[in-house]
Amino acid sequence: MKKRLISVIPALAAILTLVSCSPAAPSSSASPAGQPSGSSQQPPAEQANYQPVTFHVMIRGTADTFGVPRTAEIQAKTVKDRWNIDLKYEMVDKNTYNEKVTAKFAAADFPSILYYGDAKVIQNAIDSKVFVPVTKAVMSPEYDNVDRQLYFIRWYQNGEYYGFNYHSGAPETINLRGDWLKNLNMEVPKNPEELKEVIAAMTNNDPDQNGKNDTYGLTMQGDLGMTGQFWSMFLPAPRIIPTKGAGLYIDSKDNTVKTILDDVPNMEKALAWFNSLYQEGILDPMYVTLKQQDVEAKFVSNQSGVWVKEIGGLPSRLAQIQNNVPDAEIVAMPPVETVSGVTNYDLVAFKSDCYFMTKDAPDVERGYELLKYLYGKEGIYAEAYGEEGVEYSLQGGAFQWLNEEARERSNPARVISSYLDLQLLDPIPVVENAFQAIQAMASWIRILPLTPQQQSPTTS
Amino acid sequence: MLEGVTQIIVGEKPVDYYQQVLQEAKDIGLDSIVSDVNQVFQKG
Repeated sequence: MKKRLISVIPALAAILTLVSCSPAAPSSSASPAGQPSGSSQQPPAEQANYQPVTFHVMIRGTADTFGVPRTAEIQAKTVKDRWNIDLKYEMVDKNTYNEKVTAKFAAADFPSILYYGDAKVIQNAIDSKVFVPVTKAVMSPEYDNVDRQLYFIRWYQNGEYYGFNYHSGAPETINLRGDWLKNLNMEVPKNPEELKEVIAAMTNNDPDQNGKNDTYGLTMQGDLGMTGQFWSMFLPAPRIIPTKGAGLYIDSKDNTVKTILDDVPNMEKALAWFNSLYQEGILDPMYVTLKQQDVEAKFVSNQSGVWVKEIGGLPSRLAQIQNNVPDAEIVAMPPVETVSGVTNYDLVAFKSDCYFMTKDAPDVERGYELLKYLYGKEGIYAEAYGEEGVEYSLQGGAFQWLNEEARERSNPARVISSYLDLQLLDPIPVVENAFQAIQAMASWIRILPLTPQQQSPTTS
Repeated sequence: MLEGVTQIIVGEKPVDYYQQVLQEAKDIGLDSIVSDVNQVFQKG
């Protein structure tokens, strides 16, 4: 039944775009996500007689997560050598990304490939043939061990895959400042009542021991985005937000779509919990004005102690906190079993966000290869660690950084969140702890085995 | 929906005001959305 539930959630997500599309998907490989078959051995570009083409790739991020000049350099060299592609990144701050994309679309100035997540815009782009199918990339042998029905179904329409998803096996969890818990002599909470006690203590009991009343246990977005993990502690569906998507979910008991809005008793329990936080002054009263980036800024600058984030995003945020608080820790709250027996967490693979190729891509065949490289094993390792022999070595099978700058620049988030069976080369305690915390999820849904190991990736 | 939920969270309205929020959602077609999605889902 759990597998059934997992398999239909993406279909529901597709339905919720409220556009016509075929919910039927091709048969999944259905096998556990395993090691990809490795990159295909491509002849040098000159041998293949490729004419040079330029691919413009538009991605979003923030200044501190754009530490990719070196990554771009490695990737650019690789794709030039293999496919005679000149790779040009356009990196746009995430706070202005949607605005930038809108402007480009209005001007019919399409990048070759872009990362995007607005469902309505994506659907329009598919309908108007601005986005072209990437089915050939998705169906390539490298992905035979990937559950396509789970990870690529979101933008499967009319027999074609349009979105090239790159993530994720890592759920978004409720995370807490572990060092604050230690200062408060408190344990990681396991239920809503304990979480409220922690939020209160992190507000009232000087958790950072700076002698000032300058922290809140919890802050959140005014539009209630990224709060589903809290709501779902009381409601019969994982990671659900009542104010988004009509609160629809699939009830596995009778296999029908329902809305949590109709569950008045449990909705009122959830509302009472949030209201009690607000009334007791332990929920940041400014929350109604806050956006996603504001909530993150408060967490990484020691103003709040609880934050929802995908596990893969934790190491970089912990590093930011540790710039000012070297002993800072982040710990994940274990999943809470809901009234219907599911968890308040789920995978994030069902989001709209994917990479899309546009009709202005200069060569779709090489575009497929580019997608598979950039967001496959090799591209992910290049982004995470750099180049073997330059940034790190694997002599004797033992991983070693070759310079401190490379270690500081490393970005393992993609490794952690990939659906590919990739191993972390350099163990990360905050990630290990988070995965330990959510092991209970394994009985409800599948999570990928991401225990860090000192193993060499297959780089060929 | 967001406005009503926010009013409850910040205490401008009591928790049982939710039933009015729900009714307003139904008035603008919530039940039809659930029904329509169910039809598509069951066919899928």
